[in-house]
Amino acid sequence: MLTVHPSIVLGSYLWDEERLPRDEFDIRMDTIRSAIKERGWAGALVYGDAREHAALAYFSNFIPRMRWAMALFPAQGAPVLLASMSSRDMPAMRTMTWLPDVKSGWEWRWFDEWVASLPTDGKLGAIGLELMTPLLFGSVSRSIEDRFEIEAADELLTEARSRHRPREIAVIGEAAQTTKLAEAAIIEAWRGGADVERAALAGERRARSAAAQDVRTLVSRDGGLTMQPYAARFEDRPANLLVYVAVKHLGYWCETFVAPEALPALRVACDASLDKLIEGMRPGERLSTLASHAQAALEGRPLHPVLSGRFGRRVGLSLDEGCEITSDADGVIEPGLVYALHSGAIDGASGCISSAVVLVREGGTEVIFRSSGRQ
Amino acid sequence: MKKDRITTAIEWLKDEKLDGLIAFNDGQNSFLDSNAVYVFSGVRPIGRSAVIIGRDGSSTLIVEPVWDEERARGISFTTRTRATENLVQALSEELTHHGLAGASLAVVALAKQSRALDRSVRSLLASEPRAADTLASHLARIRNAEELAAVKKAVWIAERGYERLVASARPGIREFELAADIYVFMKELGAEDNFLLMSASQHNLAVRAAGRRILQEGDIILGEITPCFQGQFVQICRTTVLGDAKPVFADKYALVQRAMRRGMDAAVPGATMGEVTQAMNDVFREGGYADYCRPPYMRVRGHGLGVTSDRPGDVVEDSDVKLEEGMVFVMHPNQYIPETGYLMCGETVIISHNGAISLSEADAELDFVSV
Repeated sequence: MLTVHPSIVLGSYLWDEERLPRDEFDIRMDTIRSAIKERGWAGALVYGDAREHAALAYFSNFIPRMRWAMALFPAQGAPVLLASMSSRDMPAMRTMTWLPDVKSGWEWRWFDEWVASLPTDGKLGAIGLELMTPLLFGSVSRSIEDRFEIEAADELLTEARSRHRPREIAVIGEAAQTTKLAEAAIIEAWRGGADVERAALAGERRARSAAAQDVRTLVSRDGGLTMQPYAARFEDRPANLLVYVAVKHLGYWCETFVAPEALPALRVACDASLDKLIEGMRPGERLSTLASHAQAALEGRPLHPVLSGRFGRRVGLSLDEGCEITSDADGVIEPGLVYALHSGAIDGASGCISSAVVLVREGGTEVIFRSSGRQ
Repeated sequence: MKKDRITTAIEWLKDEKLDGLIAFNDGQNSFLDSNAVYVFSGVRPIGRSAVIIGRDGSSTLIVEPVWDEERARGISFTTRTRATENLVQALSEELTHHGLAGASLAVVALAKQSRALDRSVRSLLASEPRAADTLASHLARIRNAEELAAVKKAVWIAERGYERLVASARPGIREFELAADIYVFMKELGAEDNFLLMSASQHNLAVRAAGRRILQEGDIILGEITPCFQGQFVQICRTTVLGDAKPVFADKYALVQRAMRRGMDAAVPGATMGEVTQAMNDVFREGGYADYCRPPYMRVRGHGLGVTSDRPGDVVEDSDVKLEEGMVFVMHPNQYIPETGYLMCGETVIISHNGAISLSEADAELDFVSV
């Protein structure tokens, strides 16, 4: 789900060497090392910004709190991370990545020095080029001048992430635990008489206090028909609660919709639709077939409009890692991946969305998180 | 009143003999930058978005995704609002609707969007558009009455947030727990966003975002408290001692406060940001810290505040931006000092005819939390 992006992501972002140790990144870096060798690159750069940083985080663990960052991997020698922050901020930035050398991207000489250190001319591989601003791309282009041609290599990330790695799955499980805490806090606040905004804030407070890196929420002010971001309007207490909450833990997201008091018939239909999705999460199952079965379980109700026609997608380092489950999707469910699933609808003046996060295995589907039903 | 921004944009289009402009935002917000879509619509978008303004006075806000239409329409002061799942396609259709296909156009903040969007937008335009990336920031450089009221409310929230920090800080609590508490507390007071840096150490090198450190007696807690209320970011910078501090802290904090006062006195209409910076830096030079008036020992002596307008920009010695009466920004002679570590002292100020006026009820003091 899209939410208002904050000016800074301010949760606890330190590199956790126990949960994601250096050897994990050694394995991940095989993708880059192999490409450098096989394609004859002098080096590779991986770009990310505060909004979209899946590739950068996957290879470096670094997540820009604001602006952008670039990991620079030479064919030989030590990698460098350039972060678009002041040199004053570099000690703090160094605690967020395994890369030992972190430099301020505001001093472009560091990029020039990295380019100059590359022993051979030729090609540089790049991931995330399309996300760059034209201004930054211009700086990169000027610095490499005639020495290098840039080869876009975003497919490397797709290949590397064709399966969620075991440690990624474990961390998503931890994100699910924090999401559970947030969900419980939202329901408790709501039942204590809070308006929707305060109920959502109770969930955010609980998740942040449990070391969440980021928390995003949307609330419905009209009983589940529409959803909106936080607006400091503390007067809305509709008959029915619907809150979206997404929690990021060690770089990985989990999400849920909180709708504990939806109309019984609507809840039954949404849960049945979600059950169809979960049952169908088998390797090789067509995405469009899944969507069709989930839609049928809604018993003639259209899919809730805030879901934009999607019954789910991959989730992990980004809230949207692709593989959307829609009626016109081409692909199939792949094993070894974590998906966020949701199905919802509107009955009259009330809306409901049921949701789950699941891991698809060759031998069956594991539910990592499922939203609480009617209580 | 925010609609004034569209009126001034239309006047600018007439002066520049342009038919229209398109302002962009990709859903990212920076407390150091202007959000051009917010300035021209009053809407803080959640996805990619654009505002079209025609010289004829028509204006359209386009936002992604479709389900955000009701919110956007309810807030926007453009003449039309449209939600879409495909910004580029909608933009193409709306340019035709406005009679601007093939017209002479300016683009605002397109250079700050992704290369992919930049390329797609340019493919829609018949000719090279005029880049006017700082237009929104320039037109909104003086807060109007409505915006100034929001600024004052934001400062009030920041001060309450700091009071909460002082009340909640104690040995044994982790930085992120303290940050979570004051962040959500300020949200409950109305802060829709917050560039909150808050960290602690026995000897800080700089302020940073909260981590997992467990607060200890003798820690110096640094707080860069930066709530945003109705599109107006403000900032106060504070230094808090957990327990007792050596006398040298009081001496050095007085130096930082002196730099703040010197800077405020120098910040009169017509003065350059460079002159204001020099006035502050001179205090540190006189104190023997000339070598420390540069990164990494400090960053800047203050800066403009988004998301409406980042003018007058950074408070740095090489800025020749001239101050104008009514400009709002933060002044903060935050400084690393070898005897104490990093110290923070800063207020959101407004420029008056005889210098900068702090908008805080109580300006920064070295505060102590008894343990």
